[in-house]
Amino acid sequence: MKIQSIMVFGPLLVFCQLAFAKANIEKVFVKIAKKKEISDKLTYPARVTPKVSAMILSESQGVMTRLSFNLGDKVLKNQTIAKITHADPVYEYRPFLLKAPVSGVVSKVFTNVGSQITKGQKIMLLTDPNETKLMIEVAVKDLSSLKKGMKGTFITRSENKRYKVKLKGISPLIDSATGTATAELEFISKFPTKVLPGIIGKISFKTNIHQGFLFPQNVLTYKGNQPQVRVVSDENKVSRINVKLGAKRKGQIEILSGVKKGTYLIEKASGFVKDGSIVAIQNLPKKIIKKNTTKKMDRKKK
Amino acid sequence: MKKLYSSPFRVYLIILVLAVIGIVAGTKLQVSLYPNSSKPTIQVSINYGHLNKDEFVQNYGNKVGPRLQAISSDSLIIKEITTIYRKTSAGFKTEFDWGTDPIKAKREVQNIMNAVSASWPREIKDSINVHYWSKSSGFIAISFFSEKRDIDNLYKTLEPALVPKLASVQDAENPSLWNPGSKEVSIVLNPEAVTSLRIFPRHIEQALRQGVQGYLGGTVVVDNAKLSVQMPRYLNSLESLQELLVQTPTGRIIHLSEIAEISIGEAIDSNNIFKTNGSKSLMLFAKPKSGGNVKRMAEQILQIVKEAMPNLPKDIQYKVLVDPSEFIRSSINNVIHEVFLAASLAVFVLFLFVGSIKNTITAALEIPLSMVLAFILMNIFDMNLNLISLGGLALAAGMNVDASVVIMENIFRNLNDVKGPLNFKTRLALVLRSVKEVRLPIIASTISTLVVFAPIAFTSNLTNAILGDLAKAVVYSHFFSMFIALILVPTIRLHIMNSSKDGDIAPISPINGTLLKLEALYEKGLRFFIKSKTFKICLYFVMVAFIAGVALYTVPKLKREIIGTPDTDWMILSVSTQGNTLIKQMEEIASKEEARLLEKFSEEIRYTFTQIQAPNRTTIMARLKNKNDMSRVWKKMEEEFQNSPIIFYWVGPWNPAELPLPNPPHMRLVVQGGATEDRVLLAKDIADTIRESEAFPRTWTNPGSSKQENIIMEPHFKRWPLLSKIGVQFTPFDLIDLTRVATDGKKLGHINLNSQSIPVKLSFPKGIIASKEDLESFPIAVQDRFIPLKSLSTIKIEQAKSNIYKVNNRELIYINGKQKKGQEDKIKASLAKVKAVVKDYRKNDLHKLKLKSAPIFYFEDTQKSLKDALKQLSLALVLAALLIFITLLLQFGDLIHSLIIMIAAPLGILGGLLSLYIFDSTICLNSILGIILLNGIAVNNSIILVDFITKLHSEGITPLEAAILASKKRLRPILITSLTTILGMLPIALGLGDGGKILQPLGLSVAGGLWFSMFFTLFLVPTFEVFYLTLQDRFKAQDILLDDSLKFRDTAKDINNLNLRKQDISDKFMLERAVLAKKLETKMLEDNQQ
Repeated sequence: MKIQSIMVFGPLLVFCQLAFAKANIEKVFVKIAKKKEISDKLTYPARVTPKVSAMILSESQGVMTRLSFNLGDKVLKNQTIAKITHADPVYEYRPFLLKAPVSGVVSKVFTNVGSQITKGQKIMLLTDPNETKLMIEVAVKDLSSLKKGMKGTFITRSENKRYKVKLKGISPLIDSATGTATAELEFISKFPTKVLPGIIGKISFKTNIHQGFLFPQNVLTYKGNQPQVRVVSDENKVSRINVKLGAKRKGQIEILSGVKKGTYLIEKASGFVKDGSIVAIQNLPKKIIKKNTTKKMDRKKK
Repeated sequence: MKKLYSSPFRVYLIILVLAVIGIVAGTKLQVSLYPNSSKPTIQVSINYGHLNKDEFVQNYGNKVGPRLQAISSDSLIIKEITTIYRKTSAGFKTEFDWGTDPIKAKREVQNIMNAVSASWPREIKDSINVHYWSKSSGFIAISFFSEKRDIDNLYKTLEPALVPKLASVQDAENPSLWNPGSKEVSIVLNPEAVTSLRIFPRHIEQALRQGVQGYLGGTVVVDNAKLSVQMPRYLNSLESLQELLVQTPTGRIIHLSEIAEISIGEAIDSNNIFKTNGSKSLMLFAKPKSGGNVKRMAEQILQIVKEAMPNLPKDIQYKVLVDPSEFIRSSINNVIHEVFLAASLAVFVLFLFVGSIKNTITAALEIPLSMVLAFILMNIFDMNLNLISLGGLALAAGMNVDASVVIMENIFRNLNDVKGPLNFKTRLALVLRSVKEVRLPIIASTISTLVVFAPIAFTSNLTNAILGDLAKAVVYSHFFSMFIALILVPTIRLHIMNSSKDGDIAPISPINGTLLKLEALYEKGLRFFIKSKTFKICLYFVMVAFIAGVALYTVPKLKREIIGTPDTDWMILSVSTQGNTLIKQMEEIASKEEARLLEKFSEEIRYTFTQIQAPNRTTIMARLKNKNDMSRVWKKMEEEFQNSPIIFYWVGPWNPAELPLPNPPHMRLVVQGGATEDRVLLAKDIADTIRESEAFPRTWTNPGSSKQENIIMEPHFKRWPLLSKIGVQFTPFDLIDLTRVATDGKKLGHINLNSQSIPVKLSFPKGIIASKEDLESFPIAVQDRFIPLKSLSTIKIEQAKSNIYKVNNRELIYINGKQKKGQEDKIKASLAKVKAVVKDYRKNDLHKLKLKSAPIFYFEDTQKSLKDALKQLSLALVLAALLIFITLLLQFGDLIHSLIIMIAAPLGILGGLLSLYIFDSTICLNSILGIILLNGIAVNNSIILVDFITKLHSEGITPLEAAILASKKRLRPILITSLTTILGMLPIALGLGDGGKILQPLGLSVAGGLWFSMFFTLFLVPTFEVFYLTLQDRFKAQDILLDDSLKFRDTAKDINNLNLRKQDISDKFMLERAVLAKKLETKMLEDNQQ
C-alpha cells in the first residue's frame, strides 16, 4: 500500500513542484560585463579666426583719392592699395601711397574715396581666409586636463561637420573676470575651405581615457545608499553585489569595482527579482548559448 | 372615519391631489448614482516664491497644519490633514467628515489661511490657492470629425459655436475643446547670431511685449466729437513679427528675422493629450467641479452640442466617447425597472392568493401610491433619486401591500359572519369594525418594522451617508402605506360593496387547490415533527451544527466591502512610470500599452480613450463590447499588465460617482519619523523587499520613493563686479533664462493672427543642449571672446531632495499593497507573509541601511473604517433585535412567547448569511442593513403564529391541536406577506441590470433570509409553543392539584381520595380541551367549505 501510494503521489508531487517552480521563473534581460574605452569629454565654444589679419592704418592725413581694391579682392604683398593726397600745402599736396604689408583678401573697408583721413585711421582689413586658427577660452578647472599637442574635434554648429584639430598652446594668463585662459588650436587635416573665419562651433577633447565597465543605469538597484547590481550565475541564480560607481556619461554609468568581465547583470526583468531566485535569461547571444549547452553536455558526459 | 369612508370621492380627491404633488416632487428629484452626502476635501496650494523648501517649512509651513487642525469643532470634524512639501510648492489637503457642508468647510480653511499668512511675504501670500479637491473620475469626452476638413479647420468652425456656451455649464471645471493640431508661433533663435550679438531672451521678450500692446494717446475734439487717439498693436501677422525691431546690448537695432527663424506650426508640447483608438482627435473634454453633479454636467454639455449641430456644416459629425450621464441613467433606469418588477411580482403573488382582480388592484394600489407619496418627503428632506434610495423603494414595494391584505382579509372575514341582507349602514359598520379590529396590530407591525432603522441613526457617518437614503425611503413609503391601508383601502372596499349588485363575497384563490394540498401537507409534516422525538432531536442537532458551521466556516469566508460598485462597460488601465520628464516620452509608452491592450483584448474591446496627463501618468480607458465581460476582463487585464520595476499599472472599472467611497489598500505599513531622506530610503528598501516576496501583486509607496536627480547651476556671483567692469551687461538670471529657452523653450504670450489668439514660443534649434556637456559648453560672449557657460557657473548633477509628506502632522510614508481582483480570499495569507517578511527585515536587513536617524515602521489596519462601519451595523442589528423584543414584550406581556417569536430573527440572520455565501456575495453595509430589516419582517410571521396559537389555546384547545390548527390557518397569510417581499426582492437579489449589483447583497440577504426564516419558523415556532403551552398547562394542573391538596390536607389519611381526585381533574381537563378542539375544528371546516 505504502509503495503504491509513493508511486502514485511521488511523481505527482514532483510534477506539482516543477509546475509551481516553472510558474515562478521571472524572465530577465541581461548585459554582459565587457571592458570598453571610457573617456571624459571637455567641450568649449570655439571661433574660427584668420591667422593673417592686417589692419591697414593711414600713415598721414589727407584726402582719400584712390582705393585700388574692392571688398573681397586679392592683394599681394607690397601692392599699392590706396592713395591719400596731403591736404596740407606744406607737403605740396603730395600723394601718399599705402602698400599692403602682407598678401591677403580685402575683408573690411573702413573708408571711401574723397573722405578726409586722419593719421592712424583704419583704412582696410586684410586677412588670409586660407590660413585660419581656432580660439577657445578654457575654464580654470580644466587647465590641468589640457596639454599642448592634444587632439580634439571641432564641430560647426551650423552644418554639424567635424574636423580634427590640435591644441597649439594655452595662454599662461587667466582672466580673473571670466575665469578662463585663452587657447589656440589649428586644423590637423588639410584646411577645410568651408570653415571661414568668424564661424562659431564647439571643440571637444577626450580626457581621462581608460578601460572600464559602462552600463545603462537600469542595472543599478540600491540598498539604502549603497548601489548594487543583480547578477545571474551560471545556474541562472540571482544574487546582489555591492558596486562602486564612477561618473555618468550620457545615461550610462561607469562601475569602478564589484563587477568582473563576463558577469551577467540584470537590466530588465518581468517582475521583482529576489535574491537566490532562478531566472530565465531572454537575450543571451547565440555564441554563449552554444557554449552553455556544450558545457552542460560535457557535464552530463562526465 | 365614518365620514371619510362614506364619502369615497372626497378620499379619492385628496389622494389624487397628494399623488399629483408626489409625482411633481418625484420629477423634481435630482438623479445621481449615490446619495447626496458630501465629504468635502479642501486643498490649499502654496508656492515658495524665492524661498527654498526647508526655509518655507521652517518659517511658514509648520504653522499651517496645527492652525488647520484647530478648525475642528462639533459641526466641522476634520478626519485627516495631509501635507506635502514638494520642490517649489506645498499642498495642504484637509479632509472633513461625512455630511460636512462644503461651503462652510472651504470658508473656514480660507479664513485660517488668510489669518496665518497675514505676515508672509507678498509673493508667497499671493500664490495661496484654496480650492475643492475631488477624486471623482467622472468626465465627458466627445470626439469631432469631418471627412472634408482638416482638424484645424474643424476647430475653427467648432470653436465659436461651442466654447462660449461651455463656459455656462456650472457643474464643469474648465470645459475645453482640445485641438491636437493646435498652432503656435515658433521663434527659433540662431545660436551663433544671438551669441555674437550678445542677445539674451530678455531682449526679445521686451520687444515682443511692446508689439502686442495697443496704446491710447488721449482724445481730440473734432467737429464737436471726442475722438480717441490710438496706436494699434503692430504685431498682427507673421511678417510683422519678422520685422519686429530688437535692440542689442551694443545699441544696434536689428530685425527679429535676422537672428531667428519664425514660423507657424503645430504646438510641439502639450500638457494633456487625448487619443481614441490610438490617434489624436479633436476632443471636447470636461470634468465636474468638486461638488458638481456629473450627470447634470454631461447632460448640459450634450445639450449644447446637440443644439449647435444643426447650425454647423453637415459634414461635421461627433461621437460621444465617454458619457457618465448615460452610465448613471442606465444604472438608475435598471433599478427603476427592478422596482417595477418587484411591484409586479408582489401584485402577482397577491393575485394568486386573493383571487380577484378587483381586490388585487385595491391592495396593489398601495404600492405606487406609497412610493409617490414618499417622493414628497424625499423632496422636502433634500434627498435624490439614486441607486440606494431606489433600492429602498424596491424593498418596500413587497412589504407595503401587507397592511392592505390584512385589512381586506378582515373585512371579508367579518363579511362572512354577517347574515341577512346588507344595507349601507351595516356595510359601513362592518368596515369600521373590521378596520378597528386590525388598526392597532397594523400600526404596531408598521412601527416594529420601522423601529429597526432607529439604531442606524447612531452608526458612523459613513454608514449613515450611504444607507441613510435607503432607510429613509423605506420609512417614508412604508409609513404612507399604513395610512393608505387604513383610509383608502376600506373606502374603496365599501365603495365596491355599495356598487355591486349581488353583494360581495370572498373570492377564491386560483391556486386554492394547491394551497389546500400544501396546507394538508404542512399539517402532516408539522404533526410528525412535533410528535416524533427522534426527528426533533435530530433536527435540533442539525440546526446547532448548522449554526456552528455558518458561524465558523461561512462568515469568515465571506468577502467584506463598504458597498459594491455598479457594473460598467468601461475598464481603466492607468499607467505610471518614474523619471520621465517629457510628455512625449509618456506618449510613446501610452501608445505601446494601448496597442497591447487593443491587440490582447480585441474581442472584448470596442474602442479606447486615452488621456496622457503628465510625463509619468496616463489613463487608458477601454469600452467593452459586453458589460457582462467586466469581471472577466478585469481579471484578465490584471494578469496581462503585471507591475515591473519600471512601469506600474492599475486596473479597475470606471466609476464616475461623486461619492468618495473609501477604497483602502489591503496592506499598509507606515514608515514614520526620522530624517526625511532616511525615511524615504527605508520605505523604498522595505517596499522592494515586499515586492520581491511577491506577497501582494501590487505594492507601492505614497508618496513615491524613487531617486530623482537635478542639474544644479550655481553662478559665480562674486565674479560679476569684475565682469561688469569689462562691459558685461547680462546678469546670472539672464543665464538661467537662456538655458530655459535653449532646453524647453519659453512661452512669451499670445499674438493675434487672423483673429485667432496663438501662443508664441521662443526656443533654440532642437537638440542644441542634449547633455550636461552641451550645457557646460554653451557659448556666452564676453568682449570679443566666447566663453563656456561652465566658467561662469558651477554645473553639477545632484540627487533631488525628497518630498516631505505629513498626515495629521506626522511625517511619514505609506507602503501600500493590494491583492488582485477575485483573489481577495488570499489577502489574509498575503498579509501574514508581509508581516513575516517585515519581521525578518527588521531583524536581518535594517542595520545594513546604516541610517543616521531611526524612523519607525508599523502596520496600520487599512480596513478599519470598513470594520468599524460593519461593527457598528452589527451593534445596530443587536439593538434592533432588542427593540423588537421590547415591542413584543409590551404586546404579549409574556417573556417566553416573546422569546419564541424572536427565534425568527436568528433564523433570518442565518439564512441571510448563507444565501450571501451561496451566491458569492459580500458582507457590506447593504447586506447587513438587509439583515437588520429582515429582523423586522421575519418576526411578523412568528407574531401571526404565536398570536393565533395562544388565542386558540386560551379558547381551551390542547397545545398540540392549537399549534397545528393555528399554523395551518395562518399558512396563507404568512405565505402572502413573505412571498410578496421575497419575490419583490428577487429581481434585486438576482442582480439584474448594472445598478442592481450594488443592491444585490441587500436583496440576497433579505430574500434568502426571509425564505429560510419563514420555512423554519413554520416548524420551530409551533413546536416551541406546544412545548411551552404544555408545560404551562401542566403547571396549571399542578396548581389546581395544589389547591385541592390543601383542601384535603386535614384528611391526609385519605390518600386514595387524593389520587382519584388527581386522575379525575386531569381527565376532566383533557376532555374539556378535546371537546372544544373538536368543536372548533368542525366550525373551521365549515368555514372552509363555505
